[in-house]
Order: sequence, then C-alpha cells, then structure tokens
Amino acid sequence: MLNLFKKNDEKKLNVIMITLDALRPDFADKLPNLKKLIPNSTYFNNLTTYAPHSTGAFYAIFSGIYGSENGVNSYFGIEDFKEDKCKLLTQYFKERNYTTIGDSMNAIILPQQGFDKYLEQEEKTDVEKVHSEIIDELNNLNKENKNFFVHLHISSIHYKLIHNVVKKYKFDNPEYYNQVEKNKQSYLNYALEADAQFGKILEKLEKYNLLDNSILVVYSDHGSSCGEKFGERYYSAFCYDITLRTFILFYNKNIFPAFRSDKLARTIDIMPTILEALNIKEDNRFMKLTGKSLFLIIRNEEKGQRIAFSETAPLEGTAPYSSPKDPIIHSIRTQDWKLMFIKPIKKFELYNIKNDYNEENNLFGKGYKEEQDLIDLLKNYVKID
Amino acid sequence: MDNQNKDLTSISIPKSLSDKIKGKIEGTPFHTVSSYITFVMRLMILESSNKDAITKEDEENVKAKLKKLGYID
Repeated sequence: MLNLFKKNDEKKLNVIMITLDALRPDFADKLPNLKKLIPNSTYFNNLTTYAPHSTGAFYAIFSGIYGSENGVNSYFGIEDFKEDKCKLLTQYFKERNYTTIGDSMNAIILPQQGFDKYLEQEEKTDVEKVHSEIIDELNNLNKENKNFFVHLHISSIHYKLIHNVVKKYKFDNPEYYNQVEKNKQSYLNYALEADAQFGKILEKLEKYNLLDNSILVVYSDHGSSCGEKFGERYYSAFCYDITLRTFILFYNKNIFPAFRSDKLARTIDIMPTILEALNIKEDNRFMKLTGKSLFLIIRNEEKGQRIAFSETAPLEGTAPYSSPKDPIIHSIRTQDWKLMFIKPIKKFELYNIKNDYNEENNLFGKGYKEEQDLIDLLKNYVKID
Repeated sequence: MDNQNKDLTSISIPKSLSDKIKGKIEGTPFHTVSSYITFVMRLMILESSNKDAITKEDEENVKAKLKKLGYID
C-alpha cells in the first residue's frame, strides 16, 4: 500500500463521487475519457449491484447495506428506509465538517440525508452547467482549506434510453429484441455522450488541481440491457448480469495503486472501501455494514470469494412480471455461478458465468452440484417455498 | 396457551421456541408466554399498519417522481 499517513490517523481528503448512470462495464473500455483514467486507477470491472434500478442501488451504495436490510428494496421503498439504524456515507463526512453537495437525477434516487446542498435535476436541466458551477464552488471551498464531499450525477444514458427505448417499444415488442446489434450501437453513442460530460468534469477538476487532495470515485449504479434478454428493455425487469454488473474506479495516486481486478465484488463494498481509504472507522452505533472493503482484494488478503445478492421489484407495465413495492426477482452470484429465482412462476435459472458470460444456457435441473449450494445461499436472503 | 376465555384461541408454536421465550420473560411484566407473544404480535401489526399508512400518503409523490424519470406514464 502506498500510504504516506500514519495508520490510525483519519485523512482529510475530499471525496468526489461521479455516477455514470446505467453504464455497462463492457462499454467502459470504449470510452476515451474513462479509458484514459483506468490505467492509473484502482479499477474493478465485476461489481454486482444490489438492485438493477437506481433507487435501490443508490441506497445500498450509500449505506453499505443491501436494500433487504436497509429497507429500500424498491422505488417505493424510500419510505421504509431505516434511517435511525443506517448511517449513510454522506453523514460520515457531514459530521466531520465536510461541506456536502449532492447532485441527483431525481430526489427518489440519491439519499438526501447528510447533504448540505441537494440539487435535483429536471430533464431540461443543463447538467453540464450545473456540474461546472458545482466545481467552481468546490474550488472556492478548497481555497478556504475546507473539505468537501460531492456527488455528481451524469444521467444522459438514462434519458436516451427513456426516449429511444422505453417510449418507443413496449417491453414485449419483439422488434426491439431482434435488433440487438443496432441497440448496442445506439447504446454506445449514449455512453460516448455521457463520457464526454465526464471528460469536461475531469478537465475542470484538473484545471483547479482538485484531484491532488481528493479521492475520485467513478462508478455506475447498475448496467443496462440492449435487448439481449426478452422482456428486459433497459433494466429492473430481471436479474441478469447485463443489468446487475457494473464497475468502480478509485483514483488517488497516494492511496489507490494502479490495479485492475475482475474478481466479483459488490456495490455495497464501495462505502467500506472509501472509509478505509480515509482511515474512518465504522460507527458501531448503527447497523453493521454488509459490504467489505475492496482493499482486501487490492492487498491480496482476501480469503474465499464474495457472494453478491440482488433483487428487483419491476414497475407495472414495464416487465413480464411486476410488483412495484416488493421484490419478486432475486439472484445470488458467486465468481463463476449465478442463480436467479423468478418468484411469480417459481422458476429458477442457473448459469455458469465463467463459461457462459451472456447467461444463455440455463443449467438448472441438470445435476450441477452448485445448484443446491446457490439455493441454500439465496435462502439466507429470500424465502423460497 | 391459556384458552379458557372464550375470546381466546390456541396457536401452536415449537416447544423449543416456547422454552426460549420462558427464559426471556423471567423478571419481566410478562407472566406467560401467551401474554408476551400477544404483545409482540400487536406491536408488529401496529408497525405494519403505520408503514402502510405512510406508503399510501407518499405513494403519489413517488409516482410523480417516476413519471418525471420517464418510467411510467
């Protein structure tokens, strides 16, 4: 570990979190600005989100706890968030006198607790201008030697998907699923647009030298379908890897080494990693984090493999099976295997991800020993009758 | 379980659980396993009712946000 600080001292570095909403990791390497940053960063490209939709995903990321435990297991779950029991990442910094600024696509997406200033985007918002103004504000704080924690939300992929997919095709329209390559090309264009916005943010952060005393955290909350799976137009309908798999990039040359990993990790691991990076101890007065620091993998100290649990509660009219308030599609993932349970029809799907990256060959009921192991693991999170 | 009162009914729970509860309620105002379980169940139902009430109140707000995001019409 490159560490210029005494082990137990908290580090007063700024934290800059940037979400590239709905960006798939298999497209990240095709984006010039992101690609430029990866070789000098700690980069995990096999992160599994708790929920393939932003609300559940963000609450899990910012609490370090699955939505099945923190209360936010659907879009409507924000009303059930256990805020007395869960301490959010933002709140750790707020109580350390950081100025906390949150830019969010929508108020039901990013938890508002702990932010001094919370900006909710409208579709017509000039997001680039907003981000530019926020960075000016960060520069002023930096000049006054004040620390900051900021979240910037790049939402262009989301809105392109809404206009060009959701508004155009019903979830059961075969036309969409018969043109996957065309959809992928369109998606790449959306991703390039998001990356261009990211590039402008990066450029301005560098111009003000704000990266020198900050940890930069770049990630996606969930992935997205390009029509590879029937019924899954964009995300949230099922728990396939195209929508669950995401990435995380940490950049600070004194703390995060140039390191790339395709080991399975979870988005709930982001928060404990940031806390460890700054030597901030978990607050034991609150619910224990279910995520584990990624430094265990970086330092090659990980024993065993991580298990990723995910679930989704599809909105009505958006998916073959819907249940807006209670998750009905659940999955459990190991490094090489994946089990999905579709509760309304009591159907399991089993995939060997190592040999079948696209989850095309359902092995459930074909005698693989991993089947029962994964069912037992899933039972730790979900009642299976 | 005491079911001498006609307003009460019997519900079976595992003996091992009943034994655990007996140990747990020693020295508390709960004199029987039945009274403890009744209290806990009433509490759970109350919490569940409150949750439903909150969800209904705020449901329209969430729906409005989902419309803004383009997920629903």
